[in-house]
Amino acid sequence: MAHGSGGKAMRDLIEDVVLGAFYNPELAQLEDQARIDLAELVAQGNRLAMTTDSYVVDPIEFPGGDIGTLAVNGTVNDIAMSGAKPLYLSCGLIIEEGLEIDTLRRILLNMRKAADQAGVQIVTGDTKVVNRGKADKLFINTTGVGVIPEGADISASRAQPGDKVIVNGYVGDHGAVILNARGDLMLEVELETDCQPLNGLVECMREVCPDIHCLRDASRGGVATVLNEFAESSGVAIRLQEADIPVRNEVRGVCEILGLDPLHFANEGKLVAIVPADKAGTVVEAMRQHPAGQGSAIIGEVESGPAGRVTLQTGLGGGRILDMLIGEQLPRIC
Amino acid sequence: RDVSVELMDSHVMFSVSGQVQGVGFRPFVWRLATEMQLTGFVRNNGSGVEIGLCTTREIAGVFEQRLLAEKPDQSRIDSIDIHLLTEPAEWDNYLSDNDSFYILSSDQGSVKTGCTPDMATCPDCLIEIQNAGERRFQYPFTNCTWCGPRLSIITGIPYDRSTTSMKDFNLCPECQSEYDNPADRRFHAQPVACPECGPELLLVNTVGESVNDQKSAESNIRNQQEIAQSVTLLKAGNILAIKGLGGFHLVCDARNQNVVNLLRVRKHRPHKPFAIMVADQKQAEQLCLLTDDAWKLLSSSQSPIVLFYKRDSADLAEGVVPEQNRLGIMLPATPLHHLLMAEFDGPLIMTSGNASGEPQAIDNDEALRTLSDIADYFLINNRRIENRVDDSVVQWGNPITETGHISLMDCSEGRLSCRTEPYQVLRRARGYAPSTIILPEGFESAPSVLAMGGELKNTFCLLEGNRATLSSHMGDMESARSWDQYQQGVERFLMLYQFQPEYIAVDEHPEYLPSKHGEALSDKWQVPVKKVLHHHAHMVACLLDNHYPLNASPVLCLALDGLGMGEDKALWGGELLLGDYRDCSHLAGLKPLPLPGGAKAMREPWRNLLSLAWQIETDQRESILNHPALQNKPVTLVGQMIDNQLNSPLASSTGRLFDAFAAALGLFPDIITYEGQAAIALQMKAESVVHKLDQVQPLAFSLELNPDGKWQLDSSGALAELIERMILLSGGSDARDICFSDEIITEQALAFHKGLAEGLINLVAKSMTQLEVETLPDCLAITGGVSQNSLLLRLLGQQCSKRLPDMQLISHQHIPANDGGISIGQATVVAARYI
Ligand SMILES: [Fe+3]
Ligand SMILES: [Mg+2]
Ligand SMILES: [Zn+2]
Ligand SMILES: [Zn+2]
Repeated sequence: MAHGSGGKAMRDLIEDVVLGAFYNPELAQLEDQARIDLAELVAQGNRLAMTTDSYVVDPIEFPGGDIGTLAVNGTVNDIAMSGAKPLYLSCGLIIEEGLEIDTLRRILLNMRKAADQAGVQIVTGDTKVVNRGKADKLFINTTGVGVIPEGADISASRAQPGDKVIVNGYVGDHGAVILNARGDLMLEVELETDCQPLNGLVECMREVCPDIHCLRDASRGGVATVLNEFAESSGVAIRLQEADIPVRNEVRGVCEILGLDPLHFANEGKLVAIVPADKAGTVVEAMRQHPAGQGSAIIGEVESGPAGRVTLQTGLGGGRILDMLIGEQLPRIC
Repeated sequence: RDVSVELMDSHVMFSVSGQVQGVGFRPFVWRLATEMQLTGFVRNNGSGVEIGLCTTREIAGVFEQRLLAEKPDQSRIDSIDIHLLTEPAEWDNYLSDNDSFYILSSDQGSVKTGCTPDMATCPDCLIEIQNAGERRFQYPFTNCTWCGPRLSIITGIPYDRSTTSMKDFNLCPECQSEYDNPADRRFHAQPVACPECGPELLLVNTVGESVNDQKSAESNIRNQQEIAQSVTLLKAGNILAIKGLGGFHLVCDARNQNVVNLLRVRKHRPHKPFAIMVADQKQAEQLCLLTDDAWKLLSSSQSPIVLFYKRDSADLAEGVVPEQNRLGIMLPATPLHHLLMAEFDGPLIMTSGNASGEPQAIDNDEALRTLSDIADYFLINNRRIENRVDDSVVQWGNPITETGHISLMDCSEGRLSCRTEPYQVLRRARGYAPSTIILPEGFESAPSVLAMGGELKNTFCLLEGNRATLSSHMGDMESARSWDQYQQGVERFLMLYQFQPEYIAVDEHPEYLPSKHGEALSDKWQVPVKKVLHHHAHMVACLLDNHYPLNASPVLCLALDGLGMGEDKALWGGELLLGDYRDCSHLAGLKPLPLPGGAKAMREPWRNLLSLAWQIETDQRESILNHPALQNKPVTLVGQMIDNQLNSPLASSTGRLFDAFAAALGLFPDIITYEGQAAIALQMKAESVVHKLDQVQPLAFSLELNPDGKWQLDSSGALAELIERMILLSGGSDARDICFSDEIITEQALAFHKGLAEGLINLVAKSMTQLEVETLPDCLAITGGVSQNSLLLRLLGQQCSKRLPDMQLISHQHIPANDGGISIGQATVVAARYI
C-alpha cells in the first residue's frame, strides 16, 4: 500500500469486512480480475455498455440511503439509461483512516443489498486506506458493465418535435435530503432519498415502447440539466408545464426558503424520458405499475426550436427560461 | 450642356451626415432649393445625404444657413462637408440637365442607413384627421414623412415600402401621386396610407369574432364605427386590448375604480403603477403640475411616458398609482389614439399589453392567445408590427412642486448644474430608439463593436466610429419571448445597419443570456469577445452621457445599483471606482452582506433586513429579531443559511440596502411585486417630508478599513440606530413594540437617505486620501439604477458641495442610469480600448 499507514491489523480487518460483504463466487476465486463468459453476454444483446463514477457525498449516511447505495444505484442507472441490462460492477474504496468499522460494514452491506435488488454482481474491487485528512471518510468508485439488447437506440440526440417528456415521480427529494442531513439547516421535514435502481423500470418501459428516444437519470444538476442536454444534443426546444411536474410540498417548501429550484436538485432514482407522443400515455401507464415509477407523469413536450431552449410554462405567454445548473448558482438578477 | 455648366459660378457639393434619412430631409431640401430657385439635386448615400447645387458660393452659404435653421424637427445634422467640384465634367455623372432641382434615387450600393425611430402624429396630420373635408378625415393610420411608424414596421434595407409591413398594402392612385410628388409632405413616406388603400381597424371579442355586425360598406366609416364602439365599451367599464404603434396596450377608464381593480386582478399586478394617456394639456394639468418645458417634452414627437409628481387633486381611481407620489402620463402618439381620446373625453389607463412577466404582445393572434384572460375586447388592425417597441419612460425632475417646496432636482442647490434639462430617460424605446448617439471627442476612429447588454432591462448596442446605435428596450431575458425577440432584434439590426463587428462586448457575468449569445456569435464569426465589468459599463455610460472626452483624466464614480459582476466574481452594487473609458479600479464600496436565497432576496425585502441584523452583535441582534417584519418568517432557518453560507452569496448591493431599511420601516417587508417597489416607497416617504431635511438627524453609516486596505461602508450600525429610534419614538422597550406611524416612517426614511448620502460622500472623501495628491480626480460620476432616486442624488450633491467643494458631479440624462445603459457602456469601453 503506497499511502496510508492504517496498520496491518486495520488493513486485514477492512479486507475481511469487504470480502464478507461482497462474497460471491467470482470474487472468491481471488484472481486479479473478474472473468466473464462472453457467450452469456452475447446471448443478451449485441453491444456492451460500460460506465464509471466516483461517489463523494457529505454526509455519507442519510435518511433512506448512504454513499454505498448511491454508488451501486448511480452506476446501475447510468448503464440502464442506454437501455442495457446492467450485469457486473467493480468497487473501489478509498477509506480515510479512522472511519468506524461498523459504519463501513453498514455501508458495504447496503451496497450488497442494493446490488442484489438491482440484480447485478460486484465482481471485482480494490481497497485503499489513506491518512486522516487525505480523504473525507469514504470515497467509492464503481464501474459497471451491461449488455445493450439489439434494437435499443436511446440517445440524447433523438428528441423529435412533438415527443413527450416523462419523469418517474417526485423531483428533488434527494437534493433536499442531503441539504437537510448536512445539519446546516434544522428543517423540520421528513424526507427520504429517492435512491433506487431504475433498470427494472426501464425494462418495463421498453416492453411497451421499444423506441424510447432519450433517457437519462437526473442526478447531479437535476431534471433541468438533463433536459438542457437533450435540447442541445437534439437541436430542439423543450417546454415544461410547471403544474404537471411532481414536487413534494416539503421539497417545495425547502426550495422556497433557500431560493433554489427543485428542477436543479439532484435525484438518485429519477429518470427523464423522451418518447414518441403516441406512446407517451401507454409508457406512463406501464411505469405506474412498477414500484420505481408510481408517480410517473408527462411533464412537457418537445418543440422544433429554438434549438437548445428549455422553458418552464407557468401561465400564458412564452414561459421562463430554465437553465442548466453550472457550478454554484450566482444570482443574475438582483 | 457644357456651355451651361461653364456659365455657373460653382458646382457646390454638400455632404450632410447625421439623422437625415427617413425624416423627410430630401423633400425639405427640395422645397428649400425650389424656393431659392436653385438647380441641382439631392440624394441619399451611404453616410447621409448628398446635395449638389449649381450656384454662387454666396448663395450656397445662405443655403447652408437655412439648411441648418429650417431642417425637419426629427432630423439632426452632425456635420456638413462642403466642397467645390473642380471638374465640371463630373456633374454629368449626376444630372442630365441643369434646369431644375431633382430628388435622385439613392445610391443603393452603399446604403448604410439603418433606421429611424417611430414618431408621434405631426400637427399637419392631426389637422387633416380632424377636418371633415379631407380624405383622411378620422383615418386612424394617417402619417407622413414627418411622422408615423418607422422602426416598428421595418424588416430590411434600403428603407422602402417593400421592406416594411406596408408592403401588404398597394398604394391607391391618389396616395401614389402624393408619394411621387417632391412637393408633397408624403413624398417617399413609406407608410403612407389612406382609407382607400391602407390598414383597417377591427374590433373583436376574446375569440376573435367581429363585434360589429352592421358594417358599413365604406372602409373609413367602418373604422369610425369600430372607434365609436370601442369608446362605448370603455365607457361601460370594459378592458380593451388595443394594438398601438409598437405593441398592444391594455386600456380602460382611469376614473372607474371597479375596472381598475379588475385589471389589477386579471393582470396579476397588484401594485405596479399604470401609465395614463391624456388627450391634451388641459387634461395633463388636471393630473400633474406642468411647466412649459415639461409640456414640450410630453408633446415632443418622441411622445414618451413622463413621470411627474401627481397632484393631490388628480381625478383618478385610487388604484391607478397605489401609494405613489408620481404618475406616468403620455399623450396620444398615433391618429388612432387621438381619435379614441377625443371621443372618450377623459384619462385612460394605457398599460403595456402583456401577461405577467411577458413582453408586450405585438401580433393579433398572440394578443388573443395571451390576453384573452385580461381583456374583454380587442381593437386590432391588419398592419403587422415587425419590431416590438415599448413606450419610453422619462422621469421629470420638476423644479416646483404643488406645495411650493423647492424641487427635488434643484439644479443650483444640488450642484447638478451640468444638467441642461431637468429630466432623465429611464427607458429608451419608442421615439428615441434607434436614433444615433454621437460619442464624445476622441472616438472618431473607434472600431466597430457589438455590445450584448445586461440581463434585465436589456438593450444592445452597435458602435462604430463616434456613433452608437442603442436598440430599443428589449426587456428582461428570463422571459423566453423577450429572449427570442432579443436574438431576432440583434440579427435585424446587424442587417439594417450592415454591421460587421470587429469586437463583441459582453458583461462580466458568464450566466447572463446575452453574454452567452455574444460568445456564440463570436464562435460563429470568429470575432473576439471582450468582457466588461458591469459597473465600469455603468460609469462609462454616464461619462458619455456628459460628453466627457475620451482622453480626459480619470474620474471617480459611485455606482449604485442592485447587482452586477465585479472583479474576482464578487457581486457588486455599491462601489466607488476610479477610472476612465478604458479601465477602472475598485477603491471602496459597501460592506458585502449575504443575500440569503440569492435572487429571492430581491423579492423578499425582509431577508435583507435579517441579513443586515445578522451582522450586529448578538445581544442587540436578539432585540431586532423581534421586529414585526420578521415575525412569521423562517428567521432561524435563514439565519442558518447565512451562517453556513448556503445559497447566501456575499454582495455589496445598494438596492438590497434600501430593501433592508424599507423593511425595517414596515414598507413591503414580505414581498414586492415589481422591481424596486420597497425602495421607491422608501424614497417617496422621505420626499413627503423633505421640508424637514434640516431638522432630521441622519442615521450614522460608519466606515471601516477592510483587510485589503479599502474603506467600506458598514450599514449595520445605522440599522441598530434606526431600530432604537423607532422603539423610543413608539414609547416601547423592544422591537416588537415598534409602531409604524406615518411620522416615524417619513422622518426616518429621510434620516436614512440623509445618512446614506453622508456616508457615501464620506467614503469618497476618505478614499481620496489614499490617492496621489497630484492626480486627484475632480469629477464624480453617479450612476446605476439607484441613482434614479432623485432625492438621494440631490442629497449626494449637497454633501459633495460641503465636503468636496471642488468636485464636479455628473449623472445621467439621455442614457438610462439603469441597466438599459449597460450595452452602450460596454461598447464604449471596448471601443476605447482598441481604438
Ligand atoms: Fe446595474
Ligand atoms: Mg456517471
Ligand atoms: Zn404627419
Ligand atoms: Zn391611398
